[in-house]
Amino acid sequence: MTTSSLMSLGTTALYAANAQLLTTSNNIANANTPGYSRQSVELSTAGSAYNGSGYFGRGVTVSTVTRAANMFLAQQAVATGSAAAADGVRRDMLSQLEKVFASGEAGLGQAATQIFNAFADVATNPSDLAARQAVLGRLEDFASLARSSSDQIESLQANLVHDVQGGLAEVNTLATEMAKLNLAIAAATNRGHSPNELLDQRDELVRRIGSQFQVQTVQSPDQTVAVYVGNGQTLVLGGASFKLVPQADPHDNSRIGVAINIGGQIAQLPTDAIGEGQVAGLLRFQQNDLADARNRLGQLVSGLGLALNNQQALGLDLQGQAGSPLFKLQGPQALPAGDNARDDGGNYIASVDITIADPGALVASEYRLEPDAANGAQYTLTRLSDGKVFPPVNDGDTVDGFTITIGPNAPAPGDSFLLKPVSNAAAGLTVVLKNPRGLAAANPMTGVTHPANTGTATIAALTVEAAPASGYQAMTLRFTDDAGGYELLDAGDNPLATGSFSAGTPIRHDGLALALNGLPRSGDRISLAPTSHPAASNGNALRFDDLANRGLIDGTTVADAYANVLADVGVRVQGAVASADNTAAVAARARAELSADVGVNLDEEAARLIQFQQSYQAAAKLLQTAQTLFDALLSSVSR
Amino acid sequence: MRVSTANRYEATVDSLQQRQRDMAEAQTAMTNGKRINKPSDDPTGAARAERAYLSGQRIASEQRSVDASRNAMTLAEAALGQAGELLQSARETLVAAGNGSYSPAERQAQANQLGNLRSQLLALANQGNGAGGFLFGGQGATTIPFLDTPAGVVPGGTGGQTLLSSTELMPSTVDGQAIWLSARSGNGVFTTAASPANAGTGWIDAGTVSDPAALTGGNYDVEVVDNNGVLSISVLRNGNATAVDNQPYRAGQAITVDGMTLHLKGTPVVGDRFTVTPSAPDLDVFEALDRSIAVLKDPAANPGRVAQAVNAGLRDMDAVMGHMQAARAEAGSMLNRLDALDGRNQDRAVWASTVQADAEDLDMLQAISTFQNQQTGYQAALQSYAMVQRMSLFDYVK
Repeated sequence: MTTSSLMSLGTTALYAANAQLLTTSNNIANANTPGYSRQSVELSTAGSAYNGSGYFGRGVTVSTVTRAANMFLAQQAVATGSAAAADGVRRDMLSQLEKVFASGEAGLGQAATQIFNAFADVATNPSDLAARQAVLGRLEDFASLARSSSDQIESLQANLVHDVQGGLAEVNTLATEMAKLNLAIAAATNRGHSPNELLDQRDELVRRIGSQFQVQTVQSPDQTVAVYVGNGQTLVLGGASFKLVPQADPHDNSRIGVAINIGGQIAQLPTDAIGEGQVAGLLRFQQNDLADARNRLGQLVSGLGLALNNQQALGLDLQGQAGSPLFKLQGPQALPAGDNARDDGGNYIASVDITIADPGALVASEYRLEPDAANGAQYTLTRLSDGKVFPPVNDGDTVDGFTITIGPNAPAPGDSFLLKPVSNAAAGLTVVLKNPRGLAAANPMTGVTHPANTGTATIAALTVEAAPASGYQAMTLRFTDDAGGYELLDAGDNPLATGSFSAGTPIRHDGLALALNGLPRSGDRISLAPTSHPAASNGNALRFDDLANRGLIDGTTVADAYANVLADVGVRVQGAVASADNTAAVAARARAELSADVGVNLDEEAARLIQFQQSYQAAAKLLQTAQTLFDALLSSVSR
Repeated sequence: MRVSTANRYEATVDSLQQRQRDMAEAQTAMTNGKRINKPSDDPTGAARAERAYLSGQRIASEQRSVDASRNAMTLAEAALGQAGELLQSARETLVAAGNGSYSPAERQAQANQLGNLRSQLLALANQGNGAGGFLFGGQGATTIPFLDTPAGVVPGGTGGQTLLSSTELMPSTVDGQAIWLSARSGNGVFTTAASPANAGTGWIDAGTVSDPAALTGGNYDVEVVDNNGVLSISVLRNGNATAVDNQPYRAGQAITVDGMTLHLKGTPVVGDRFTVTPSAPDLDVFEALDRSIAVLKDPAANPGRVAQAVNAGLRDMDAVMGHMQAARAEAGSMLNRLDALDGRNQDRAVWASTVQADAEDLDMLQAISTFQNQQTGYQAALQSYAMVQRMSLFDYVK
């Protein structure tokens, strides 16, 4: 045992303590650095020397600096972070969407109800131009509110596209960086020590990619990490990274989708395969919530707008003319899928057209139409809102209120069409009737009970349900017995129809429906004639007013339908908030667990600081002792 | 378990922010008194509130129709009341004109007064409703509903009533043609008249129904015949002889045939003829007055014609007055019905606003107590945060 070995032992101790102090200080310095993992010095004994009386330790060696890492917790934190980001962005978007559907005074329900109410005022005084002007004002209110709701939805869509593009750009940048890091890590690892900072940076990159896009990571033996997205498409492999690109949905080019460009081959990532992450949350919002909102709005606008137009056509305006349309609606659309067969000029070969047959039966959904593989002349129709598959349809069939027309060239197997009966209705809703005199407030037919009638029957309502095939002409209804038997005579007293009246059921003939109160007696007469004073007739205004009570929107009244839309949006937001809260809590817990495992606790570092400071002091003391010994030895020798 | 310092700060700040958000929401709710500020606060409640709100709007609109209808019915009721008074005056004038001692000039004066009353009645019938329409406009009239032409008053509009609702009976006009032009003629069952060619001064009264079961509804001719020098009465039904055949004439004696009792008065001469026809709903108040006026204005009219005209006029006035009264009663009952509708609408409006309030209004007591809880919690969190974060081993390393 020599003083020199004592000196060298003290040096190793001092060196080790210094290394520990450095690492601890680094921990303290990086306590708030995102992604930083606590580091510690790994020490080992420096071996021993045999000198006959045993093995004497030669001090301590600093093996390496390691970082606290927990692969499992780290992956969990990334995965839960992905889910939280997806749910969080959906919640945020839905909260925006919720504002589109205002309740009470600011809502579409109110705007629609005001239209009906304005017609009730016209009914009170059909020739009053002020009351008529008020109707036009209400129509305009409704149209502009519908348009602005649609605009808000479209601006959400635009923001969404922007966000998706931004998200993809971020992922691409991060992926490029990660590829570089992979190379650096592989090189550094080759030098024998683990490059802790680089590993931390790479973990942080994975976390940031994961918050945009769900990823799978696989670590290779050379310490590089491969990143996979979607159905296993490679984003980063070793030192190579590939680009995610925004690409329009092949079934609906108004929607954004995501594709990956691997060596020039662009592969679409199906929305369902993207999993979690902010981009996935946005795409899901686009596919489910935004599309539904557009359809609900369109259904409401189509149902009401077309019903008002139809009613307008059944009445007479102040000039005695049949009413011209009140609203112009943007028509339904049938969009070919991007991969449908095309001709040499690049145009789609097959075409499909849809028209609205019954606005009251429209459903808030889009549909997919594909040729039926089993039968060439038939087509499979799927309602996208609930996935209902209709029995095979033929050219010209009417489903859910719209009629499908195929051709002239029929779709070939493999082609598909996206049918949008209502989606765009609100966007282009405009009031085309500008002259208040043009409102068809008058009933084209007027019924008068004969004064000599002996029964108690009075006219409850004479309704035009459809324009009569034979035009509006004078007729007389004559009851032929006390049980309600009647005959309908034309102007020349020739019988047109016979039948029997039963209370509560209107008498119908050629589009006209006559509802009676009281009981007719034999010989009673009711004359029906074209209205001679359209300025004073309010019959059609009453029909307009009565539309408020009719099931215009898939069997429910406009007010109820709008309340349902509110409830639907509310439930979605509520659900989104709950699941966002839930996944955020899960992610926070995963993050807390990870950081508990690998993060820096300042109290701990303080304790270590004291510990290592003492080690350092002790090592220094050792050197001092060695020096004292050496000095003592020297002085004894010099004597 | 170790706790990462950075994570602890982050988590605490997050939860403080969450508490702050909750308090801000509670405060918004308390400031505007609504439990539901956006549909997601309570989707079902929001939908219920929306439905109730829209029902309230509809009820308010219906109430406007009720008010309009009530205005029209009030006007109509008043107009019919005035018409009744005018008819009463006409009746009195007719009674006065029946005075046998009046000279033609005096009768002329009475006729002029009747003419005056007639134009007042016509003005009433054409009364506006104050909003550009006509009270008695029926189902529509572009100009006035009753046009005075040389051939009499003709309807200018369409009969019937304009209604203000397709579900409730709420008229905005009354059926003028039924009221002014369609009273039942005669005594309501049959109409008696003297032939214009009669030479005598005999006149027939309106007659009464003595046996409803025996009525036939046929046309009768009451003829004054000479039965072997005795002035007699024969009644023919549709040209065929009846039980009254050659009944000796005595002024004022009842002639009873087929359930009808008629009285012939004055001095008829042989060949005079009176007709009895079934009553029809075509009695036009203006035409009735015109008939009386025409006779009263005729200086050559003999007492029989005058008496017949006065008698027929009185009969018609009575029929018209009865008819008007019925119409007035109908307007009155309509007003009653509208009052009931009004009451019902008020109840429904209260219902709608109650449902809306129940669905979306805030329970203030509960809200305040919740808010105070939140406040206390927030305060405690702030304090404990400050206290805990102050503690660090570094403070003790000296």
